[in-house]
Amino acid sequence: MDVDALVRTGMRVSQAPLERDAYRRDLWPRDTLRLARDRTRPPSPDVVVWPCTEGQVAAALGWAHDVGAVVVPYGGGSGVCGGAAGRPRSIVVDTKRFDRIGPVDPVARTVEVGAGVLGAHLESALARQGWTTGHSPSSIMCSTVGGYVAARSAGQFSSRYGTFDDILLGAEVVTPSGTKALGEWATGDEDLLPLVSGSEGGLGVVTRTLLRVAPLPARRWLRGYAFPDVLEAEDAMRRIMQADLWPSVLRLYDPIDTRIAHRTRVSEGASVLSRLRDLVAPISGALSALPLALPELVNRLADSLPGECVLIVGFDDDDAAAERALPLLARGRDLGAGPGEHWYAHRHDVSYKLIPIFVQGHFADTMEVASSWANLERLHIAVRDAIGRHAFVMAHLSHAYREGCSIYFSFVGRGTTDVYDAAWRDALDAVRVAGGTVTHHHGAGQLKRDAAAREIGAAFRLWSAAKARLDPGAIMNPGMPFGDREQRGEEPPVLGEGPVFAIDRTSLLASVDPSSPAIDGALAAEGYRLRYRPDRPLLASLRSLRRRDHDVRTTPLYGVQARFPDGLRVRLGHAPRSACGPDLRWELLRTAAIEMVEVAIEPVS
Amino acid sequence: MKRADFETCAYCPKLCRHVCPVAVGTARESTTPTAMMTGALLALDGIVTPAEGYASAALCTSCGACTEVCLLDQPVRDLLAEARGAWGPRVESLLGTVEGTGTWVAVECDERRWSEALAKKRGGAVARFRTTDHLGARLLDHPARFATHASALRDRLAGRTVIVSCHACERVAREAGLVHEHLSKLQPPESADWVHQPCHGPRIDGAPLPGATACCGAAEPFASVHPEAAAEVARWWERALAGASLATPDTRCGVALRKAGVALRDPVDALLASFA
Repeated sequence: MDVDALVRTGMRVSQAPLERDAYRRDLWPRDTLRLARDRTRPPSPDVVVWPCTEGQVAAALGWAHDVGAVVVPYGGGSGVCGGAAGRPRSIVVDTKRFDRIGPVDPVARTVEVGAGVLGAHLESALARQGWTTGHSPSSIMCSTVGGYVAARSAGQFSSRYGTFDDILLGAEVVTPSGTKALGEWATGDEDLLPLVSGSEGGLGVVTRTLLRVAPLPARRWLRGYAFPDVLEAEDAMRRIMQADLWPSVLRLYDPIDTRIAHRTRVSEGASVLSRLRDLVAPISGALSALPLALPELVNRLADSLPGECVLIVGFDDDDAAAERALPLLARGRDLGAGPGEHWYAHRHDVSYKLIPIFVQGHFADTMEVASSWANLERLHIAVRDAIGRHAFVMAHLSHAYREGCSIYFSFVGRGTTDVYDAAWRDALDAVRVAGGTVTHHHGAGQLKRDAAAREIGAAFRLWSAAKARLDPGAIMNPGMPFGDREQRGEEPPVLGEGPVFAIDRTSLLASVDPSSPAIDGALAAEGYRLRYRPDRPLLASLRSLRRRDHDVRTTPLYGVQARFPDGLRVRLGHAPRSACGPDLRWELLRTAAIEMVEVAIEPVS
Repeated sequence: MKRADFETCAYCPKLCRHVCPVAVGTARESTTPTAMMTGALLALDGIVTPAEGYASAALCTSCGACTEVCLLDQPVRDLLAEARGAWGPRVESLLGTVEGTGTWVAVECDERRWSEALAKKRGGAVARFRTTDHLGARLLDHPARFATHASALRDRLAGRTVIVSCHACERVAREAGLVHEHLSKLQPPESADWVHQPCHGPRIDGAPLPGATACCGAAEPFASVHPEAAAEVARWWERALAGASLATPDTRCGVALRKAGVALRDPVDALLASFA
């Protein structure tokens, strides 16, 4: 490929084999497994460029269009779903030279940050000024701000500071159709931020962001509680969130994860595998040498072991909230500050623990799903059983909301990509059947794009329309995040009589007709009211909302059910949150006939 | 070389990239410690040539920051040095001659001449020893050949105290068993807004630049094998300083940083200025 035109823009351009080699893949464990077992790797891109201006990005996109190449935006390459991968006849646009961290605006509580800034560097720079975004994913050492936008990331303190959707207030994106200012930087009425966020490079290259910041907490109250079983602890989590206490940390480990997470110390050289052997050795004898050979049996044995589960609770600078949480934790056994502080000190260790598993020829992966509180147990059992047929599996609950929670499964397996693929196929099917979302914060990538497309069903046309408008030549990271064609989902149910179609009293959610003026009365008759109380009819209010109008504590909208002009009906959105590509609910609100919205409610008393 | 040692890093999610001066300064995926180790692994597997494996291993500045944050205690610096030793080109070192008399010998490793100024400061004779390859620092990756080289150095400089001004020369002096002293101990640099604490060699008093990585890009053989990347690392410092001045005890770092536009103060500057 002739790259003279790229070189003339002044940006760094490379076609060197070892430079291109480093952009073959992100951190999708399937690729690591292939590298470890078969020594095979995905194809490398043809060219890599490192622009540092929007003009240079535009030049790269123009060049790709002219030569018939596709564009793969690349930040830290820390994605775990294969969303950023080299491919034949591609140009990788590395965003890490957009590395500026602006001064904090202490009044607006915002900071302007280049898309290429590593999370660890951002938080260090903000901490020196007494601020934080509160975004602390376990990948913080190796992931960029642009990646957080691309996959709609969530960090370990999301229950207080929100997911990256809540933190991201504005962005600039270079698309094949031009450079667009988004969110608070948008100049017109239309805001493309919800479309670009989560698009996994499928619409353009994000170069700059405007982020919400909060004062760096002076004190972090951390404590551990042991519960006899997951359901008891889950109930305490729900009550804490629904009491509006907004803890920064609320993490519940199932009995197996409790044993492993709280006993494993990487510094002593112990691996998850060796802990797994320790775990099953007393009861399984010879099996301990090969704990992954019979995953179903090992999972059953592990389940049968007596064990408590540990709930880690943390509050930032809020002693009053911590005090109010204590009665809600009364059914747990107070373990003191130790487990919480241990978790905090080791909160990034898990990534290290997985490496020796691949060196030994096995695989490890994680899956983050989510659902409402009322549906959480069903989802938990379904996914655990599905993965458990192929791999040893454990889970913890984190990213808690008033309305629901994410479940984070970790699994370790033995075998080739056939076993790995089977585990994922069954797990994704189980999520669909159990009514959860297939991704809470990892994004879709190659791994989940088909499942993500099934999850959005007929709303794929909204994505196609955005793609046709912003990337008419379809050169931007093709196939991400939904694949190339619509996957027909299940037709949403026909609604009964409104204006309140259903009330989920456990999750504090109501499905209502947003066009009806009688919502308040109907909810009041049931003892509830809308948590988000609009100053105009609900549908009109939701359609006019802007990003800064809401945050993690005031989420105005969960599900949306609508009918397109051609009669096709669709339901979008899983409480509490889905990161299946961009948040298309706002586009759906603007373009379709809305039949129902799912919103948060609270008891009147 | 054991393949498994390199595999661990090759499968790692780049958990030390945020502290690696080369990865941070160049903003490339190919310069993360993970990529350096992967390059070596590919060379071990015969997928790339030994020369390419060497080039990958030579991206390491040996600052050791990666190992400091690695919970698996991977000795990346040592493994990459071993790879460089195995696949690197044959390096020769030209031993210079000692000019002048005196029990002190000033090792001048850049264009500046400072032995006379040091003599004035000391009030006694100081000999000069010119070197264009930092006393043969690249031989450090070849232990057997370095032993021969070190023996020759000891013969040539027997009975003298060697005054070095940079980390590369200092390391050779130390590894060769020469009696040596670092110039920054005799003549600290003038004060500046921030100080640079080199990843090798002595430290000085003062506030380090917040958020700075360990190495400025001047380390060998990185700077010689990858001059473009080394210049990028130095430019990272220039951008981070945003016009503020920087003091360093190390003249090798000083040369690289000054070339990138940093307002720099080092011990030789201070020595020459005091006797100008």
